[in-house]
Amino acid sequence: MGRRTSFEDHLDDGESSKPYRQFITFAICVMIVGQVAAIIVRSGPAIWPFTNYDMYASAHYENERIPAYHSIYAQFEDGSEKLITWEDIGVYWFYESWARTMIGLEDDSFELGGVVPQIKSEIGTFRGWVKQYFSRRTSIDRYIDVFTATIEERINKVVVKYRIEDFPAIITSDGYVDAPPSLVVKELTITRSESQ
Amino acid sequence: MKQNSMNWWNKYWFAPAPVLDLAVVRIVVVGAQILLLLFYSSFGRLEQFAGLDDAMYHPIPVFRIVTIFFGFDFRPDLPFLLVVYWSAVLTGFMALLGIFTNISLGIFTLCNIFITGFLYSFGDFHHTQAPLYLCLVVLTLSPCGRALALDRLIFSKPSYDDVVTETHVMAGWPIKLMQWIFALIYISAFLEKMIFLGGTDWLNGVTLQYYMARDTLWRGSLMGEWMHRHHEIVLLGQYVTVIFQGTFWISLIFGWLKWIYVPLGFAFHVLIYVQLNAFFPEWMAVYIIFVPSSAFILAYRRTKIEGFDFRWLLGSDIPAGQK
Repeated sequence: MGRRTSFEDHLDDGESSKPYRQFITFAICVMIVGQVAAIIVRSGPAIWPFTNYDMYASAHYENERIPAYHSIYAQFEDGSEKLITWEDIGVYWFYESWARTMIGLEDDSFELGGVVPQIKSEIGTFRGWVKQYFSRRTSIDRYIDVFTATIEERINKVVVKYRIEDFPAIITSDGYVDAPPSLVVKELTITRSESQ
Repeated sequence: MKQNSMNWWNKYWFAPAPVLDLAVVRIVVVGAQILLLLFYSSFGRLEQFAGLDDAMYHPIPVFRIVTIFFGFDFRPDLPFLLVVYWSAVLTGFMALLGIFTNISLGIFTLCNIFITGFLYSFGDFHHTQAPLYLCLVVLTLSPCGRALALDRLIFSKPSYDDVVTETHVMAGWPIKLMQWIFALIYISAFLEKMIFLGGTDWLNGVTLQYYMARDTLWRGSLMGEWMHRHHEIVLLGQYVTVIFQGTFWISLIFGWLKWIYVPLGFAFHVLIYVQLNAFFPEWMAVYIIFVPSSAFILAYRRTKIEGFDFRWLLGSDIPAGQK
């Protein structure tokens, strides 16, 4: 039967291995049920590392614009405007997520330090409580606050508005083609509460 | 009926299986994760993420569980993160060499889940690490240190038994479970494309051209620029992708189909790297679960003695648990 280690003395074929097999049976069931649950409820990071796999899953069509990346322009209180790069916010990883966050907002204005937009209507409800603790939108919607503060500190100007432009290309069955000019996909007015 | 069910369950999950196969999985998976820890830029993010504003920090549930004893909203500082990081590296090498294998694997797994859970607590999220981390959890509970491990020399009495032919009732379930997890992952990808998000429109050919073009324009790719301009090839690729993901699970029932699905799946992950620059080294490493290492060694030995017989490739005359 081969050599045995003292650490695994209980792993023989007699009755003493039964508790270990029962534990492993439980573990197998947990793993399979966990992964199936993640697929059915489309859990995302909520029960990670069990998760659903929605990469590259949305359908796209001919002549659709290709948002390879976005460009964010900040307009300041003094009337000037600047293209914001990832160096201006200090982190490369979040620039595109920040742009998509602003594009995805329903409103055309955002109050710095206010309630996270996606749970605004659900404050006080169970759903709102669940989202507060399990939804990564709670983090993502704060990108606007954090990066606005970073920009204002580095440039020493007050941001009043963001203009976000897309990438000038469309997809055809022969591949992508240039589609100038870039389109403005969002204009977001930045407001502040009286305490700010 | 209950007894019959339990018999079936025990015969499927706890049939004797080669310990060598499990040990090879341990070495490849742990080795891959160590390389990613040391050299892949993701872990260079630790210093940058440690300095991010508190307003962006929202721990994902698994991170809250792992750090429960430090408080519900615990946020580690950089020194703490570096201690966890180097603990992961140290225990990773111990697990690789098979020193106190299960203990070092458990700590290695916990440290990796901690690090990635922390990085995912700022709104960013990816699907790359999950299969490998699930594999580490499974290996931690398994006798993967029974072969190719220093534990075997330290804790066992000397023996000249052939490790290639050695089997154990607990050596099969980890590999089978991870194979089913992979099948479920592919089913999820299929459902997202064909039902939840894309629908049948996903198979229009332009969808994959769009993604190739987008990723090429965004981050560059080796072949995406060229490949995405060939509509018919991409259209065929979309059908192959969906059929592969939707039917992969069948190869776990009819084992000989793995000769088709496993190379196809591995090639699939290589292709998405060269065409989309979507690098999934963790997935490619975990594909070792489909490689019956001991069977290949035994077939090689027999070939040297008896000459090659193609029926071995179809599962004939292979020890129980290796099919």
